[in-house]
Amino acid sequence: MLYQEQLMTSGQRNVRKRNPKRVATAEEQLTSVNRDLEELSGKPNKTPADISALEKLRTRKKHLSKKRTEKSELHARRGERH
Amino acid sequence: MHLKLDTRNLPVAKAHPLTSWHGGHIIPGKGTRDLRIGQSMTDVELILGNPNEKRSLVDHFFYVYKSPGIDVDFGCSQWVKRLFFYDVNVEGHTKRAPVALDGIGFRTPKTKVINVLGKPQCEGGPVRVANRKKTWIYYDSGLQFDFDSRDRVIIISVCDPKLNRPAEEC
Repeated sequence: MLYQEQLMTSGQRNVRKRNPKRVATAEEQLTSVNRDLEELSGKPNKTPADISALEKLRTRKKHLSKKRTEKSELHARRGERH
Repeated sequence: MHLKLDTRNLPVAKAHPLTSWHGGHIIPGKGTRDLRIGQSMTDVELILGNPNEKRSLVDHFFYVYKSPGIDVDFGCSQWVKRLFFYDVNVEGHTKRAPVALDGIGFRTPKTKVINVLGKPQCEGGPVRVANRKKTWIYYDSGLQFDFDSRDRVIIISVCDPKLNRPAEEC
């Protein structure tokens, strides 16, 4: 059965995967960034440095969210032909 | 270009903040005796002089006075919304603001602040801001104290208590 399924699909080699280590690191960092973001956005009087830090954290969150869901490049890619 | 349109030779007002501001006692929700919440930009300039820097950040407009260690937040209006008083070498400020409140000044321990003013309505941190890990406490009277990693006061801020949401939501 497994053999049949493998035959029906294009195989496992070209399936886009996620690097589990990269995902774990991104999730870990995202947790810390989310915590800081929540703390800082709840601060009543924000100094200019706080506002800049908040903006940086938002950008970092966006970047890490992308890293968490990002898939690896295809295993088999056609090379550039001239 | 026509000579009348050339603005390169016009005299430019250079930033030179007044160093003679004597500071004083902080009144929660108001500011100090002369520097107060609700004042106009002109009033602030008359008291503190021209700012070292004018910063516009998401819905906030700041006058930054590095040498007296003060930032004035106008929000998105022309009236003072918040006043920030800094200790020396905090967030780019070169002098300590000459202000105090009931024996609480810069480098006062957090425990002493809480002993004098009571339990704060809102607490936060630690969060790393400008290479410094800081925490803060906020009172419904509009007072906020920021502390460094050793729990000593580095920033005192004042705002109108109506400006911030009720502390229960913090």
